[in-house]
Amino acid sequence: MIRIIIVEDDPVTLGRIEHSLVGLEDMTVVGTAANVAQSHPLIAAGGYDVLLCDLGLPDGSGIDVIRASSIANPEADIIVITVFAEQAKVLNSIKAGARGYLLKDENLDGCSERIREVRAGGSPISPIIARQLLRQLAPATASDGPEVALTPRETEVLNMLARGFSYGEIADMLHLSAQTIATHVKNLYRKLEVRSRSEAVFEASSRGIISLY
Amino acid sequence: MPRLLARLSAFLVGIGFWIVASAVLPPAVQAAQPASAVVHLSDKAAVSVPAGDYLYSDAQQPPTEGWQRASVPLLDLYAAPRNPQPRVMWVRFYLDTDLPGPSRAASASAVPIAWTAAYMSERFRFFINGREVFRNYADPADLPMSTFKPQLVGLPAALIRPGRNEIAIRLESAKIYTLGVSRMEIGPETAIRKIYNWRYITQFQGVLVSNSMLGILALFAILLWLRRRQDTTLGWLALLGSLWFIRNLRYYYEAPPVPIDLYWHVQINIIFAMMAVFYCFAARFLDIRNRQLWTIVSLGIAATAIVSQLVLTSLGVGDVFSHLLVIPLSIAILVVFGRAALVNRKPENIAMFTAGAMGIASAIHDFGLGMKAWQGVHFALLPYAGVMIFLVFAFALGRRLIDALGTVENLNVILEERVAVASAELERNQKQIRELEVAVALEQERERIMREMHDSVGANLISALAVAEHGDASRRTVATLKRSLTDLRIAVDSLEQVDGDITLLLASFRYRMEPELRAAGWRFDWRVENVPALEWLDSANALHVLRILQEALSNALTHSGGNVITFTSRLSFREGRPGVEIILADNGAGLDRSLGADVARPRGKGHHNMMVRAKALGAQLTIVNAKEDGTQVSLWLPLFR
Repeated sequence: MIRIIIVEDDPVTLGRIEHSLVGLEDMTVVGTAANVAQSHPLIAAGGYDVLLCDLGLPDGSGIDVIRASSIANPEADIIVITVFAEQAKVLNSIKAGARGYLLKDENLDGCSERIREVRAGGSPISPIIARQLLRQLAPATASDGPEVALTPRETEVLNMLARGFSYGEIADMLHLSAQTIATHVKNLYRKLEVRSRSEAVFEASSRGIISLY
Repeated sequence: MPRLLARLSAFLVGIGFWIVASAVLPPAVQAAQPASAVVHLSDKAAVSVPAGDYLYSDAQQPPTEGWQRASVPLLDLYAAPRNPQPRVMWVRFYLDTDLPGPSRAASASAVPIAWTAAYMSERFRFFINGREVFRNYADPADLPMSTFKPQLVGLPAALIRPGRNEIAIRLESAKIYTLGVSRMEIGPETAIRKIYNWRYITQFQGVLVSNSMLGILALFAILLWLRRRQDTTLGWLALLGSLWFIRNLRYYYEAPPVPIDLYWHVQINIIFAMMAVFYCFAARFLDIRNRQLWTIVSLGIAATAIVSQLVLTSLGVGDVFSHLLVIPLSIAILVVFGRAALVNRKPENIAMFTAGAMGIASAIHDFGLGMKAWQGVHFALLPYAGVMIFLVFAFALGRRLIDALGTVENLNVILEERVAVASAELERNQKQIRELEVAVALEQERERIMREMHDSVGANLISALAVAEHGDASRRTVATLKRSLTDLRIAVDSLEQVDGDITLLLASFRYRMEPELRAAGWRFDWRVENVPALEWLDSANALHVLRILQEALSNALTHSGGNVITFTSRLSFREGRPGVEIILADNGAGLDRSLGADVARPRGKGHHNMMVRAKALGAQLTIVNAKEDGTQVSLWLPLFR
């Protein structure tokens, strides 16, 4: 059973998502919040596997909710709810800990499928995000450990994704399964998150905000 | 180490002397027999006078008795008749004009005969067979400076007898030291004049030239020091040069300008002072440790030598002790300095040490020459040594100057490079700032539009669609709303920054359209290649491209009846111009085949809009029937506009 909490201020969208999940045997909505303040006790209480989170909340940014969840419940998968997959916002969500996204402008009836995919270890990606990953992860620095450095295979996959090939087409060309490609993408998201977090730490320590020793 | 150095310096000095001596020795001087006071005349070469007789007498004519035999050069430092006035010495030897062998007939009268000597006492008179033929003074009060000038006397043929001739020289000196004769040669005038000329150059003219140089260099050093008083090295050098120049001034005048005793005291003691000043200078030049100590030691030795010289001479005793005092001490100091030069092995240090060693060797050489202890190179070397020291200093100065100039020039180059780098950096930064300002302004505007699209238009459209789908709206209403949403998505995508990456734009197009395509039962056959970026592809142009592709896709979905869109992009040349060709081909029915070649004519509003957009892009758009089946839309975009 996949336990889900939803943070969404638009009642129509919330309703559509809840509607699409009703009656599914493997999923259940265990909590909803309409703003950042309401999300805090839900995240603190834990007990969920997937967080669906809108970005434009009335009292703050969904990014903060994502970050809080990522730290408090690292095992839970976070999926962003967005319009048109606005790339910059999606990228920031991934850096905060998101692993997938739902598009409000698409048929939300398929959102259960998306949740299952992410839960199974795969993530969706748009070509623009793929290119952003190439840009932000490729310039490996000497201090990069294997947990953030791009592997040659990951670079190859990202290049193909940025050229518009689907998971299935890439899997065919590389003689892999589509699920493997999806797992690659999820790993890449994790690397981006680690990289951006270490950069944030570096920035903070260089500003003297926190001490590393 | 000191022993090695002492040997090295001795070797250097020895080599120097050997070279000079072998070069300057008059070639025609025959070996003399030491014990005989008779010179046998040669018709070709000059003959050295090996020995002579001498006596002290103020007789006006050559005395007949009381002569003593001595070898020449002849010097009697400790003879008793020093004090009685006047101090007069007679020297005589014999000239045998009978030439040996068959050339006897060509006797002495055939060639002019002359006599020469390296040095003389102040006043002298020259007699042949009792007849005076030359004197170097007109007034008995004259004191000609003949102690360092060579002398030449022609022997009148009329006074020369065949066989043995008596040559007598009457020597007078007002100074308290010496009376005597230096090396003398006699023979044919041409050979004698050669010797005389050589001596004149080395003993006199050379010194004049050298001392003039020294004077200029010393003046230069003084002027330099006046500007740089803190440079004590320069100060000592200026003093050394001045002393040296003053000592050599005697070469410029015919008679001493001061009382002769004082003159000679100055001449002797100035050497001790020069020596001390040289050590003070060298200690600083070579950067010797404890140079204050060395200064005191050097000045102390010089003072001791000077005082002892004055005391000894006033007591009527010879001043040899004073000279002997400074020699070992000089050598000891030289060893210490040589060691310092070896430690700090700069060329100028080695050169200065060598010059100093040669200066001291010159002083010793001249002392021995004056004492008639040895002949050396037959002329005084010390007057020349000063120039050597100055030349070494000039060399050092030159090196320092070149170093300094090099540093200054390098500094300029380095500074210029830094300025150039900084200017370039500044320019780049300013350019980046300007670009950033533009980019920020564009980004802000883009975000404003995006936000507007998302938050109001997009959200409203989505809500409307949700209501329509779950309400009782007509299928046309739902379709229109969906088409509006798609249009909005395309518009949003056109605003994403792709930096001219047309492949990325196509990929985004696929990503956006795929759900719709799949929902309609279609699929993409994706064949895009990596192509160069189109620098002119900004948001407005991207929207044109996306709208053309959207229209083509929409036409295929709506009218063709197929189920696969083959999407190709590749590099393609048209009329020699590079560009990117994008081809959308469906597997449907194709255009109305009956229209034939006329398929490209405008067909409806959608088609017209595609053409207008293509024109705005500077692109080429063709819509044709594929060879097999279906329609093929080709959009060629130039790489450069």
